Amino acid sequence: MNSRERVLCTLNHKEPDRIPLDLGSGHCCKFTKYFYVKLLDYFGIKEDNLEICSLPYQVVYASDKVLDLLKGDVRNPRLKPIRPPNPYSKKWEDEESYYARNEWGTLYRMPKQHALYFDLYDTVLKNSESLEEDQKFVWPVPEKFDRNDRKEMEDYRNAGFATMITEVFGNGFLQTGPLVWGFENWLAMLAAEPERCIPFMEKLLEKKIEYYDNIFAVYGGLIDTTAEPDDFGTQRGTFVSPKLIREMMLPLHKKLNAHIKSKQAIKTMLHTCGSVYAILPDIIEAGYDILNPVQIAAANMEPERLKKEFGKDIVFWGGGINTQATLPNGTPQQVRDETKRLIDAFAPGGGFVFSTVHNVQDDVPIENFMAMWETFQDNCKY
Amino acid sequence: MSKMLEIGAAIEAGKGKNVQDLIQAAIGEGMKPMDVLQGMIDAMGAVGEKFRTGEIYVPEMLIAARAMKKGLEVLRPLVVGESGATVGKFIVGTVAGDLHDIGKNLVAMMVESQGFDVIDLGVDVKAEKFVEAIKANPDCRVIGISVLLTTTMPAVKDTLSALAAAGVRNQVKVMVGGAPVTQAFVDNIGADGFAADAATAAGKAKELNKRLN
Repeated sequence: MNSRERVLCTLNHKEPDRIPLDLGSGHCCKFTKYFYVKLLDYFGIKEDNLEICSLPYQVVYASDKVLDLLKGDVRNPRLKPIRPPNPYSKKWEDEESYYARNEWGTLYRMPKQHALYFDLYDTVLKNSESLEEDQKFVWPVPEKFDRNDRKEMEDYRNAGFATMITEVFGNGFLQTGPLVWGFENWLAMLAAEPERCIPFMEKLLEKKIEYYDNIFAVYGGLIDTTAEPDDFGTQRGTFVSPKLIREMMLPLHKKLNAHIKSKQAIKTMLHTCGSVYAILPDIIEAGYDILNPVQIAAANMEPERLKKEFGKDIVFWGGGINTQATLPNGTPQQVRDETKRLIDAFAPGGGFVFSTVHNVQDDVPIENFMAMWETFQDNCKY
Repeated sequence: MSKMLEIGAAIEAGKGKNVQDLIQAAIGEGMKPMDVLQGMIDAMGAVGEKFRTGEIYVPEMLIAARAMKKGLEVLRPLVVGESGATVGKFIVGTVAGDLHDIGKNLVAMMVESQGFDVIDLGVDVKAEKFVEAIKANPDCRVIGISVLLTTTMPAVKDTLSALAAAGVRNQVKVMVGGAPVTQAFVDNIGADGFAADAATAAGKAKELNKRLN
């Protein structure tokens, strides 16, 4: 069984030869820059010019050499979009910080000292109080791709890897508004002025469809999975009410999934952090095949419960180790015990791709990461 | 519906302008500003309770807290100097190195809506800045430290050490919150209180404030 066959097998809820592994490639299964440097040191590899694949999170495209050493089954091709002109995009720095304004007008800032991420700092419609003012926003144009750029993806297919597209247009339907109005304003608008949110989210759907069509026009037939983010969960429940998610966001996700699947044989992933137990049936109903990152330490997200109630209907891609406690702060033995326990819970019957719960951060000791990896290798055979 | 019930309903519905108009009407009818304030605090307490039990979510709590804030703008000048006009002071900030403020802002709003005078130091707050704020507000009895990242959790402990080194640790109770924070973490670093959400945090601030009274 090659990597792609292994992944597709588990995505179809059957047991492959071993559990597929995604470390360093899939959506929120990646490595932050400084952890990646630790990993390179550990393997004795020298790599210059690390490629950042997400500015806010400072995660990198891991090299094939590292992914091969880890025996990863998934590859995340580096799409090379042709960026249309945009009035907002800009990068600069001052004495203390780096700044970057993206095509949504969102300003991110990263202090120069001891900082690990670019954090949201300012938005263009933060003072808008009406639909009329909202309409001043200049929408980004979905990127197109170069037909000559299929080679990397073709090479991965020929080498037998499963591929995932992790670059998305904007963010999710709940989560793009904050890029434009700011988090608090957007949440308050959802509760008090949904008439300002609905047209924005509907337009976002149109643009996302256009974006996927642009991707398929170049990479069609070579993509196994796509990932859409929409963080619905917090540590203790959903950010907004399940009713609001069901009525306002998931119908749009459902239309997007229907469009993607009408064009390509693709399994779609929803990335949502936090406790989403209450809306998992609705996420499945919206057409998602895969859930990531399966935040097992959030409320009601116990692995046994998830597997028993939803294991036949959705694939768990993640959930391999708690990245809020055990992986950064546990002992290697605690990491081994938890990894084994989670494999035992999620693996039976397939429908499981092993990965960490979210990107591996800078503070993770290499001993803990390797303890997890070795435990996986020792326990991954069906 | 009595004026007070109307004010409470307008707060819960997030109608800030209505809240202001209703407060002015209530005062015009002869209601005592302190009674109006207490009624508003009770109304926000009920909103917090609904959030805590999962009946409402962040957006609904947020618009209520914003409406409460609007109401306080009108009411504050009328209660200045009255005993019990503020429960106490609450200094809050996101810990050094951490730039996240959604949770911190929610806590600040909910604590303010329970009658505290909130001093918000913002994000990436160095330990010295907490020390300075405590020294500048010797009547402050409770401070809140917010942290979202596992990578910045150690800075919370460092902040506590800095408070001790500056001789102000015993002056204040310290509550800590944020996604990766647990009661065990709080106990381990020697902080005084933990709350899992913003509404519970407001109750916790009141409780810690009383303990030092």
